[in-house]
Amino acid sequence: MKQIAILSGKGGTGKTSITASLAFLINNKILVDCDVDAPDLHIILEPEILRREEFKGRYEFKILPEKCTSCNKCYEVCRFNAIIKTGNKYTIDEYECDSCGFCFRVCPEKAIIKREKVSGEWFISNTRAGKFIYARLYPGEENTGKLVTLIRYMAKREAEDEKREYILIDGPPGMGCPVISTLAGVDLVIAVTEPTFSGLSDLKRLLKTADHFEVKSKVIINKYNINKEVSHKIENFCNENGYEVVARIPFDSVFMEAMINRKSVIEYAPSSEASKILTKIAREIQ
Amino acid sequence: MKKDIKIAVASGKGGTGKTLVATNLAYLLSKNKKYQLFDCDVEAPDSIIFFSSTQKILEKNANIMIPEINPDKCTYCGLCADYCEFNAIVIVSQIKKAIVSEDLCHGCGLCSYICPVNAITEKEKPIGKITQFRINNLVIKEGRLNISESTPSPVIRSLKKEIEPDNPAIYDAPPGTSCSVIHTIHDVDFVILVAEASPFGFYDMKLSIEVFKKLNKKFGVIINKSGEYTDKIKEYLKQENIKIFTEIPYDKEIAHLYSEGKLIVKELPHYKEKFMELITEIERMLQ
Amino acid sequence: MKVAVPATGGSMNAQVSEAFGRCAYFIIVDTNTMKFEPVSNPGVGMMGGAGPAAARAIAERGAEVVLTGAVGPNAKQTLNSLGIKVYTGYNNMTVKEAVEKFLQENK
Repeated sequence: MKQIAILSGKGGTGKTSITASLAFLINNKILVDCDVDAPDLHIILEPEILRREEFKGRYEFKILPEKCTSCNKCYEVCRFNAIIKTGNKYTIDEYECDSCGFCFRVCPEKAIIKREKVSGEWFISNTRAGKFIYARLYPGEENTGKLVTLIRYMAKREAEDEKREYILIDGPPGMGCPVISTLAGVDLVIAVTEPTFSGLSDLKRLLKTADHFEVKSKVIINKYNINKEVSHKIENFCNENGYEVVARIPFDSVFMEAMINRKSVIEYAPSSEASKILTKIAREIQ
Repeated sequence: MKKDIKIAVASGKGGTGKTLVATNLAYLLSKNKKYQLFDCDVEAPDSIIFFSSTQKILEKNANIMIPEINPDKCTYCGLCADYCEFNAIVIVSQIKKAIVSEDLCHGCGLCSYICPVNAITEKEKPIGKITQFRINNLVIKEGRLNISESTPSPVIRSLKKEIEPDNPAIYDAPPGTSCSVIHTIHDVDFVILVAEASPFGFYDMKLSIEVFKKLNKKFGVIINKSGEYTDKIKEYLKQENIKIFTEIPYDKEIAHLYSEGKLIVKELPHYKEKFMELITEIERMLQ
Repeated sequence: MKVAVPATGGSMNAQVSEAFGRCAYFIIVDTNTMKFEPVSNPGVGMMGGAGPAAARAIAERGAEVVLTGAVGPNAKQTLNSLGIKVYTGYNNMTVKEAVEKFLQENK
């Protein structure tokens, strides 16, 4: 079984659109959307949900007003400005709270409680492109690798049960722990980049992280003709450092059109230039 | 607008044009007045790219306080490890090891406080950099998260401490709806939400709107990369009584200029006009 | 010496887990006797810092070496600080095969 993760250093490079088409081109697979902060793949795939589960991602802390004596201890120790004082009433600002538990441990009246918080949900579903697992962290929650790891684990189980050869993962943009949880233990990273000023440095950061995890990386330069000079710079960098560039996709309005029609490019415009390139990519990575 | 107004520019997702709007607005607004532009997208700050010939006026570390365990005093009782919500301390009494995982530590200070034998002191750990640049009336303040770090919030907190309270400010927020976005916008007077005119953009816009409503924030929408799908978004916004400021079309010229690190209001006069109108609209809304 | 291998099950025939922090079990193998002890991974339910919690569990049982598919940076750092050597690349094999491979390569 081979796990392929599609990532980008920054958002907006076209990663999800590309993954959507690859989902139709690679058949014997389970598809996972690990962008749990802003999952978008389900918009194109229109999933039929088979299973929905709550995700308890962290603890939350609350002050019980009936036990609070306004001694101010919690306010003194909190480093995150999360204790709100309105007169004698003390409350915890759920958005500023870091869930460190300091106030909980020092409250002399034991007026602060700790409980698991449902911070998201995850789904197993069926789609036109096969089995699809995705998740959503509720707004304001901290990106947590735990949810990503959980759905990857579910995907692995499904792949084993249904004897699938591939797990195709739409990864989160950026850096940090959700990206790391997406990368860990995969067999191949496809790094999608676009030729903007910061595009090359974002790509470098991503490739460096993949290297750290000893995962092989290949690169797709999307919308390459927006700035051919920067695209060349990216290609040079890849060549000099041993990263294969599997495709250069030109800026093509068909991506937007397909999305608007709730279809992947390969479904919407199967004989387009873009589809030809996507088909080639699918062949290369299998 | 009040003299110390704080306006955030946010978006549901990366690549929608948030930085485009924030930088071009900051450029125009600062022509006649002192303004601050905070780049709070600390994982990938790129506002500074659009301003050449700036002068760097400050550079400092954003720090958190992390524990140092004194092996001579430590009794390996494990209380600090038990209490640490982030599992950043590992105590193995069998081999007399007390280890702090600095990457997991949030700097909350609980462990040093509760250690029964005072074996824990704290030291500063840099987790990012705060840099300030000036060009004419505009001061650009950028937070940059160090590469191995995974939590942006402390850098954003440090960055916001650099505010000149009497001068107006624009915050270029991180994309999405995670807690780093909330830390950026929770004390602003107004949010400009940049939405992409596509099904993905629409979905992400609704997530952002959910957050702004929860935080009771006044906001208005700019529809970027406008085209076929715009009407659907406009219909929804009108239904919800949400202010639409303007539309910026899906324009290859903009994409090219942006990729070169150029300000569109400087290079294309019709966009300068558009942004001037936008400013008038915002001022009207904040009367 | 004692070798720890993250695994998907509680026996020598279980597959080596591809990632260290959130595997179901650790199998602690005494290379002198080839006796083994399955340990439930405390990191499995955790919100964060699973790696270090797992590292603690195996350090408490005297493991000096870890054989794994891959390992995250936090876990690796903690293991190293605990004086435990980490060997990666033990993919697609059983715990038994991993230990045998290790012993072969490190005669």
